[in-house]
Amino acid sequence: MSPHAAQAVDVAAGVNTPAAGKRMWLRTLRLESFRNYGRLEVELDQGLNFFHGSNGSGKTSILEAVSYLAVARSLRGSSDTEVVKWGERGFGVGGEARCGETPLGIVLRFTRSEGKEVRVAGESLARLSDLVGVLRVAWFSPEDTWITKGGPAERRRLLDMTLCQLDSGYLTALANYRRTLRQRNEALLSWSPDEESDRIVDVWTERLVKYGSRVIATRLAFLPHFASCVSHTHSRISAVDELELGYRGTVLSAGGKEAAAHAEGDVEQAFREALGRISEDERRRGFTLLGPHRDDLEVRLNGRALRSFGSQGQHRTAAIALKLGQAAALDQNGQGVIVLLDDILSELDETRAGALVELTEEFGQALMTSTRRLPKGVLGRSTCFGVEAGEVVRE
Amino acid sequence: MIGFPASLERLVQLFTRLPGIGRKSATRMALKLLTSPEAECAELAGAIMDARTRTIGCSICGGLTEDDPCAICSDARRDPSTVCVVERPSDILALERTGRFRGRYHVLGGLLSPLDGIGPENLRIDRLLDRLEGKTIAEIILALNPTAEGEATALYVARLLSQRGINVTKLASGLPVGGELDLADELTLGTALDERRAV
Repeated sequence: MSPHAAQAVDVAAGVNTPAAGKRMWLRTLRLESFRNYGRLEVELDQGLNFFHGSNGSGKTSILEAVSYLAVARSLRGSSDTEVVKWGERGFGVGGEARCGETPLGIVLRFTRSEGKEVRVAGESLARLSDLVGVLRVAWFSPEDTWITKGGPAERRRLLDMTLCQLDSGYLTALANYRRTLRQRNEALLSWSPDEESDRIVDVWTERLVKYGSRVIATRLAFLPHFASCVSHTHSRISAVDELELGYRGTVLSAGGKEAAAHAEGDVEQAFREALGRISEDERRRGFTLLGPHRDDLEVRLNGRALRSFGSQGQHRTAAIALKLGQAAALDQNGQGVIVLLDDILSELDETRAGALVELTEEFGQALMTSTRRLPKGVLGRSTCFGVEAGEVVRE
Repeated sequence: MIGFPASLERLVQLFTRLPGIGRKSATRMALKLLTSPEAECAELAGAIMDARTRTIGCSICGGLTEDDPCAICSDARRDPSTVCVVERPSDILALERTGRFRGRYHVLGGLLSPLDGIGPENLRIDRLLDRLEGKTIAEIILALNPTAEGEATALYVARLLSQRGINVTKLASGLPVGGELDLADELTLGTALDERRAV
């Protein structure tokens, strides 16, 4: 069994046990001059915290504030100055995280003149990047359905972002691969039929094979673990559909269930041979025709490619499963992930919404926003908050 | 808003053209010069021109020197059969500080980069081949940065030299001396593991 497969079992077991005691969760959240909030303090609970209110009431801003405590920036994609309340010079976000009984204070302040400062347990951090990993979050919004609806680039990005966080060697190999790819494309574009031109292209080909094989081998080795996290999450939301992941590669492919352990040397050989077969074609067309930058993470639902036939609800369910599966895959030491779900219930039927609520509760802690209220039966033990014009009322 | 007098502003502007110098540092340097004795300013101006006119590239290795050939190339005690290939003249200084290398150097003057239009003809590769022609060469050491361009250039040069039957090596990458295992980043430690050697 590969090391990844062993972790897959752990993660699956973790998701099944209700809110383990050692999980990190956010007990209080404080906002100051943040978006439409002057001052706000919210007490959160473990499990699901459900925020409902009309459009523009400030629901998403609460999730956004949590993202500042985790990664020191807005996962909604806004700049720091955009989130400052109108007429103010800066903003502050604070929170008390809990890991078992141990409290941990995190405070982030931003002013236009001084920039950002983060304090964890009273200590000012030298670099903002030191905050990453203290509190882990996963953000999901309706636009994320592009993961399954869009082209392969969206799914490669999900895979790459996950692996870059787990393996710094992967990050370096990927950056070098992209750089080498651009250099090789340029060399192919200016290629002319002479020996020197071939020598130049060959050098870049060999380097492309080196970096690219590291990328492919790492993706293939990670796939079974990732696929099991995603399928497991998916099966919790949808009882009827079965989701599978596969790697559809231009060099090597693999189904999600196979233990796809390929030695880097074997991948190198396959990659080199594949490029050798199309070398004339590449020289004629002037760019690189295959490699990990053209591979796809295929999502199959009940044995068929989801992208070509899935319904709106099926896409949304699959995208949520991919994002939550990613969170589970990243949570290697079981410290818990705070799941932030922004307005994702609109296209889910009540059964799936209920299943999702149940799933998020088991994840540790989740914050969810919606414009509609959910029936008591669906919400279970969740904590509900009404949001209206900068006021948050616990119900 | 009133700015600096024109001549001071010009000096600040010229300083910001230098690498690593932003507007703030440039202003501090310029203001410091304003209050320095005139002789010091003249010395600085003279030194800049002096260095600029006297320093040339060695016609053999490409390193910086005032006399051609440079001190290393004309030092009979340095082994001419071992040549270390580097990207820039400053790399020679780094390697010399180790005090471990007794051979000669060769500066390429850049790295292969199709994106920047830099091909082998723009580097001092021909000069390297000319230099080795008809000589007995024990080893060529490639000391290029482990970047995408550095690795590609190393491979290109290595292939050319191997065709001529020359022994080519490259610098090892691995653990920093005096470092601790658990503090090394994964990539460094991984490379060190891949390139381990017999004890």
